[in-house]
Amino acid sequence: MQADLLPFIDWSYHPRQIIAPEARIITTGDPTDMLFLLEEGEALAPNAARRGQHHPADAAGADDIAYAAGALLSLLEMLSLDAYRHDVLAREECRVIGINRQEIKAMWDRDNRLAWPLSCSIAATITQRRQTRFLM
Amino acid sequence: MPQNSTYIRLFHGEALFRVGQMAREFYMVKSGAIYILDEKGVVALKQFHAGELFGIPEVLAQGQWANTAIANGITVLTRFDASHLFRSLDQMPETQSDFIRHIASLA
Repeated sequence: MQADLLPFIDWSYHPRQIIAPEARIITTGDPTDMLFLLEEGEALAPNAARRGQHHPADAAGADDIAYAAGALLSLLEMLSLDAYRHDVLAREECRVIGINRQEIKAMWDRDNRLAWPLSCSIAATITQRRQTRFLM
Repeated sequence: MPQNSTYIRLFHGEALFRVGQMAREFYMVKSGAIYILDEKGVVALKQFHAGELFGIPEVLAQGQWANTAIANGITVLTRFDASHLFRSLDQMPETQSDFIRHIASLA
C-alpha cells in the first residue's frame, strides 16, 4: 500500500471526500497542491491519448493506470508538475483523503532536507520520459 | 570534485554506455552534449547539455540502461558512482530513503 510510504502522516486527521462512480477525482489541469490517497474504491487514470473516449467502467487498457485502495493518486505528477496532466476517474464509489503538498514537504524537511528535492527530481525525470515515451 | 566522482572525456560519437549495460553510475554533462539514441541507434531521442544530470532513477533502481548514449562533439562529464547516492540515502531516515527508492522503481 503506497500510503505506508508516508507513515509520518496521520491520515485519520484529514477530511474524507466521497466521489460518485464515474466522477473525476482529479481533473487534468488541477494544481498539484493536493495529494490524494484512495482510501476505498477503485480509480483509473486513462491514457491521455484516449481522453474523453474512456468510460470509467471499461477495463483498464495497457496504457491506463488502475488504482486500488491504498494508492496515492498520480504521485509522480504531484511531485514533479505544477498541474496534474491526467484525469483520475472513480470506477466505483470512492473515498479519498486530500493532503496539502506543502504540509507533506514540511514534514519531510524536518528530518532531512535532501529527500524532497531528490524525490521531485526523480519524479520529474520519470514523468518527462513517460511523456516522450523515452526511458533514460 | 566530490568523492566518488570522476571526470570523463569522450570523443564525438563515442559511447558513454550501451543498451542493456548495468546502470552503476550517473552523470552530469560539463561541456558538449550526450545524445540518447533510439533502439536502432539512429535517432536522438533526448539530448543532455552542460549542467544537466541524468541516470539517477536507473542507478537507484539498480537497473539497466534502456538506450545507448553517445557524445555529440567532444564531451566532458562528471561521473558519479552509485555508492555516492546510496550513501546519501543511507544517511536519511529509512522512511525517506524507502520512499525515494519506491519513486525510482517506477522508472
